[in-house]
Amino acid sequence: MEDFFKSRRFKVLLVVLTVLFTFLLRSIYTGGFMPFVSGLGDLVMAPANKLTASVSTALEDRFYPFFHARELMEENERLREENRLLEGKLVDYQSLKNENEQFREFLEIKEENKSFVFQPANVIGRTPDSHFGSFTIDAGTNQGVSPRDAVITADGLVGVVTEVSRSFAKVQTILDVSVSIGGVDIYTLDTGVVGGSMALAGQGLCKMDFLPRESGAAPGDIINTSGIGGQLPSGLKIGSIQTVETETSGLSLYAVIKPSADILSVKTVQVITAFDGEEDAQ
Amino acid sequence: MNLRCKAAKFGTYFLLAYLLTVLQATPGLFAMGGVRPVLTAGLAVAVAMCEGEFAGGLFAAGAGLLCDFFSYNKLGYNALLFFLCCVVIGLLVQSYMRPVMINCFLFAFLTVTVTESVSFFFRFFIRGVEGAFVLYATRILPMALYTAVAALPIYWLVRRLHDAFEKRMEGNGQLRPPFY
Repeated sequence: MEDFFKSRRFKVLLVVLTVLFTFLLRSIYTGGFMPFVSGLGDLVMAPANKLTASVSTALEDRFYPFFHARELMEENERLREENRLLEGKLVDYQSLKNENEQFREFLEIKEENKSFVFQPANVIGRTPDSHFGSFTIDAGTNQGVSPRDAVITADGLVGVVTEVSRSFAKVQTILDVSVSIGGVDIYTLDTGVVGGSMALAGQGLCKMDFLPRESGAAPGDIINTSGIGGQLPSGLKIGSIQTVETETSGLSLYAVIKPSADILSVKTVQVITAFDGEEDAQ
Repeated sequence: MNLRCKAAKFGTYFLLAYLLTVLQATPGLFAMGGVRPVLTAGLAVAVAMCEGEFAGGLFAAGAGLLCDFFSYNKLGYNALLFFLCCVVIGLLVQSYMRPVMINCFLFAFLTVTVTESVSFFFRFFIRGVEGAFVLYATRILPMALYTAVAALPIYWLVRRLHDAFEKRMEGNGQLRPPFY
């Protein structure tokens, strides 16, 4: 072992270690890939992952009923029960109609927000260490994607872009504890900070912190992005409130939010690469 | 001839690393209860055990870089950590431990545990994120265990490849490394 520390191999390994460490620091500092590495990723990794992701999706769609027959039966039973409940709730037809119109408005984001520039993308990778449903998409700087762009589906906000290469980008979801997004309750207009929580992420839920104590936010309320800070556009649907609780400090409230988008199994997304007001913020 | 043989051996290892990285990043593949193995880490460990600290360390850095393209961590993180772990593994196998299956299991478990623990420390522990240890117990440790199990067939394959190439090189007049 002593010979090793005096050998030339040890010196070479030390040089490699220094290079790797510098490489990591550069990556942390810039939040992006180095041009050469980016080119390498575009050339060798992205195409193969795009292929395997599409094969995986196709196989999953084809064999899902065989592998999940019991699950589907249970789901069918649960849906029947839900249907019975919904039939009972039809009495409140007018409120449901209003809510439905609101949903429709959110689903037609593109028509309503002419300033949004959308870039469609497919989810091509989910690594084992992505504990909050983070994923990689097949769109990068070549398609106009940049860090902090909003990633959505027709159902609502999914997350934000964190690192970008030429033809792919990494996305952190709103279930992630390191993501903080300004949110607003569209009924009470109370604002708060939406982000992930360790306890809730496993159930596919997130949290809205710093609601004022006198807030009238209630279960069922819809939460949208507030646009405060200018990083994300306002009016993107995040989800609906499940419960409202008091923080342990007792100074404010927090709401548990069920995201509208199916974050953990989303396969195609839209990236909002530009919107009105974005430049003012940067 | 031996140089060509070595190039072919490491070419095969890199092809394997590429394949495993693509497979492990494929959505839904190998998932058990939301936990998936880091196959590339298993391969890096197996190569370090067979090839020693120098070649093993360099290979691990390359394999870690492939992993980084889709990782939750910043680019270069896995490359650095895999490199450090595999250099240590290479040295341990040369000096103190035998290159056998059970040690591969142990090394793969420790490599993923160390890699993820450092990430966990900086991302969650330092920031005092509430409930972070639940994530550690329910996701990170099972992931390390799953990787260790998955590393066994990978080690078997790498050992076979290594022996086959060594035999060919011996035939060409080159001696085996001293730790044999």
